[in-house]
Amino acid sequence: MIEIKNLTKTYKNGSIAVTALREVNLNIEEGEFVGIMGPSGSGKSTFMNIIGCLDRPTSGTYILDDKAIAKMSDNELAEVRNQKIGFVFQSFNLLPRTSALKNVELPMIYAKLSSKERRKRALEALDWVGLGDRVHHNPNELSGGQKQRVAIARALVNNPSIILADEPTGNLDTKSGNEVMGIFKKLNNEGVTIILVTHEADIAQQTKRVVTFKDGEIIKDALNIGEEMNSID
Amino acid sequence: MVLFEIFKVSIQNIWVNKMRSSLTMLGLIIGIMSVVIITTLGNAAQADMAGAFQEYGKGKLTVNMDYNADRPVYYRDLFDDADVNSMSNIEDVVAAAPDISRWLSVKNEDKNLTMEVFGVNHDYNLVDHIDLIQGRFLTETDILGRRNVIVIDEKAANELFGTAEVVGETLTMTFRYQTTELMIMGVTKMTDSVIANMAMGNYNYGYIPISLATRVFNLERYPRVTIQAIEAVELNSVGNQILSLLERRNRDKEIYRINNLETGFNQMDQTLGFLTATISGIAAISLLVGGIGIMNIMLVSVTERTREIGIRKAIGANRATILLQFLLEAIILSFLGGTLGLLIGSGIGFTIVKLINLPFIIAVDGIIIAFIFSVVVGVVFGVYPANKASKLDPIDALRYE
Repeated sequence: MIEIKNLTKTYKNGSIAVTALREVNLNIEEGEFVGIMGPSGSGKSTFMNIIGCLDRPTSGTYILDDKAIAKMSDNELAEVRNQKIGFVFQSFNLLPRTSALKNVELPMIYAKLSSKERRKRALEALDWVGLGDRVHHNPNELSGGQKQRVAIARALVNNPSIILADEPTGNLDTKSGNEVMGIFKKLNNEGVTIILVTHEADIAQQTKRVVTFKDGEIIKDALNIGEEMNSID
Repeated sequence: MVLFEIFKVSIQNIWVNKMRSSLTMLGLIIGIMSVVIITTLGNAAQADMAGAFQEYGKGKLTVNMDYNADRPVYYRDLFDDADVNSMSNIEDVVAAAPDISRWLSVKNEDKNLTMEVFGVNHDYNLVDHIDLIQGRFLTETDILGRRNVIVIDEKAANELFGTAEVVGETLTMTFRYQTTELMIMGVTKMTDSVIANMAMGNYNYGYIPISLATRVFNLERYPRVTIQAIEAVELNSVGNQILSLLERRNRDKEIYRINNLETGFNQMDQTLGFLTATISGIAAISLLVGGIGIMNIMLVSVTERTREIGIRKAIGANRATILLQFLLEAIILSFLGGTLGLLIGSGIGFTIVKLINLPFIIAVDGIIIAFIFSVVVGVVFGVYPANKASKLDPIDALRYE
């Protein structure tokens, strides 16, 4: 599903070139639940941005659902983000002064769905994350955990190929964090591919495969089997 | 479909920031309002003048002496009854009426005023539109009998007697130390035209029998003839016919001047139109200021909503969608401002026009200019902020605090 070969990303800051990713190779299959770990500056954020089609690699290939992403135009990337990727952010990134329902409908507006279809699917998604009774609340009337659940509903409402979660529990207390992780697990059990970036080991433990970045390279890629971690290469 | 959704989002954003939106619109409201008020007033003045002209000036010519000619005007140049008769026999001429006028003072007890007194025939109203509010106009008997009677205007009646009901009263007219007692037979009505009344100012006038005037003013010939032509005719050709007629009667045609009231009216109409357009143009500059206000707020709005733009982009909005959203917001703001300005301006224009009793004519030109201008202002000043928004990098925008 995701095929990444020799992916390199270099930022030019004036005359200094900083290499954020160096020749990264990674394959992710449909239905996986991958945790991406690494200290800050390890390149995991850059990697997420590229997987999320928010950014393009300097060199290398990225194939998502048989489509080469690396050379796409801005508009094509926007469409891929809309159709194939669902984002969940650490700081929720919901539109302020906009009801949960409208927030969840947003990706479907850009997908050009009818308002009837949008409403139906948004209500289903909110119901699925357990917020069926909060649909008309604005984000400032919701708790952190509830906000993140709205964000998850928004991420999955267009039936994306992957859900990309960037530190989704980072702003939550343990209880809400566990709830959110529970939702991810439930989603994954239904066959949704999830890629989750975190620096917390115990969150990464709850995924099925952990990829660790350091200095722009993958230094470890291991399956989670129970409490143990076994290297696959 | 998507356009409609974007439109809804733009409306929502304007609505959420009610206070800021209305302040933003204020510049445009004032600009459009001024343009509409000025065009409304200009149109009203033009319509008023056209009305007055229709009533008094249509198809009218005056034949005067040209006192600026190369040689002085001699007594023999003036018109006699035979001249007037042959003028009235020209095919396109309905009537030709001579008059002699002098400025002199009239008096009632201790009140007096200066008045232009016209010596005219009883059929003078064929060339001049005379409406009476009291009494009657001069009759043939007055003329033939050279009676000491006068018809004065409403304003003069009020000034001299404190009332318009003065038929039967007498006033004293003094011309070159010679006084004449005149009985008032009628009072003329003031014109309905506000502009004409304003232009007249303190002007007072009266009519006496021409037979009396020739004796009092000591003049057997007439310095002026007013011609009423049939309405459809080309006035310049009538004027030329009169000049060649005078030439045939062995007059020096260089000493006469034909005044065409239509030309005068058209000139005034043009001047007024030009004046209105110029002032509107100056007022339109405030639209520019309003537009800059909109751009300013839209730029603030783009910065303030950087994160929102990032979210929308991450979720799948492309550049065109973001551009359209902000552009539409600017256009809606300016369009709303324009509409409000139009309504307020029309209201104020209507009130002023009604207060000074001018005809109200909906300023179609003003409305069209207002709408086109407000949308253009929205587009012109909205493009830059909208383009800026659409070009934001989603990663940076999402990180923006």
